[in-house]
Amino acid sequence: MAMAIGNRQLQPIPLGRAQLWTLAPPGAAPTTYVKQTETNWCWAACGEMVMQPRGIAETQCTLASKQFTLQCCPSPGAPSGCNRGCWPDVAYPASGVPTLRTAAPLAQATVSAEIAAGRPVQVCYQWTGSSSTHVALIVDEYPNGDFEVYDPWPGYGPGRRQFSQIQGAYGLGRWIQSFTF
Amino acid sequence: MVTAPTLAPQVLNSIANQIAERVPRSSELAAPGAVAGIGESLRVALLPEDELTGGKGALGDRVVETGQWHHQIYTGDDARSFARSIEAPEAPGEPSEVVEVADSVVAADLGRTIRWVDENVPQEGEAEVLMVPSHFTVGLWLHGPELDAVVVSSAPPEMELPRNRLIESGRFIEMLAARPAIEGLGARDGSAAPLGEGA
Repeated sequence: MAMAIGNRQLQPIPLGRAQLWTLAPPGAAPTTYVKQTETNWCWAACGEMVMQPRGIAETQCTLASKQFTLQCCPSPGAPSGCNRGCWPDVAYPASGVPTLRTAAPLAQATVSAEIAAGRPVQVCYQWTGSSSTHVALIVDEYPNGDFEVYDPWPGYGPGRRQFSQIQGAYGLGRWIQSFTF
Repeated sequence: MVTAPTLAPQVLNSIANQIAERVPRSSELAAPGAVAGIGESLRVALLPEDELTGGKGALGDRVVETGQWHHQIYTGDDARSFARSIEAPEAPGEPSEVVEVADSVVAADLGRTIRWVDENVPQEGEAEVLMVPSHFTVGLWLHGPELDAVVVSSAPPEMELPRNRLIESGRFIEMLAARPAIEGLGARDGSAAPLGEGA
């Protein structure tokens, strides 16, 4: 018998068995997830996530204000001129975060080394069939090789992802550029 | 009635076990005593921007099947998390390996859309999760003998798409194609081509 989409017969998940400890160095300041408040502010939300653990009191709207010389706070509600993209290596150094752009994805071992040194890695995705780009932040690694990725697009959010899932932009494209700090 | 694929118990059991192994440390699913279950499992289709704006034909001719499955994760009546899995190359057609577990509003949004479809769409068909990343739009694509429509579950306000309303697929394409894509980082150094050759 066919059933509607909604399935109230849940398949139980045997929670409590995941390894929750991670490979970030002891004492590393944790990153707090930030969702982007404007559609083109993936770079700004990631910037806030990079800067807050370093004690730099920038938020996504102050970063946009600084970059576009506009009053972009508060957001939502910022002027339309504020909702624009910007490259992390262009925007972040003015707030005290030297940023290296690599025009390629990074090897898993390189990402692991950055995480082990207490530094996040920012990935730039390009969607299939589009010139649109989007950035997300790899903030931690699990012992099984999964990574904790904080994607400022609320449609993806914070999650635990296999490296291949990052390389393929969640099945929607590919990782094309990288930013390290 | 619109339906979702029915997965064999051993497949669902395997997916549930893998989700349990991949719970993120920051998730509510990691809290002591948390109880959760897998609800709906749906295939994930992608509508690329070039097919949205320059493609031809019906939605079915424009989407790309990603080979990924979306699994709704419920705690009580609430869906606050989801998992994605991929199919095994030697066994296409059903999920095999969990590649992602995330906490996201998309789970709650899709939960509401699923309930809306079940209550309001009597036609026969199958549902897939439709992702349009260039426009930050997520919904259900419903397709069957007399059904080809999209029900949007989440989209930015500037896309001007009504949520939880049946939109014929041709009309959905027309409406979304009229809105500019979200550029993300944008052009570099004023260049028209933001990413260079091959990007």
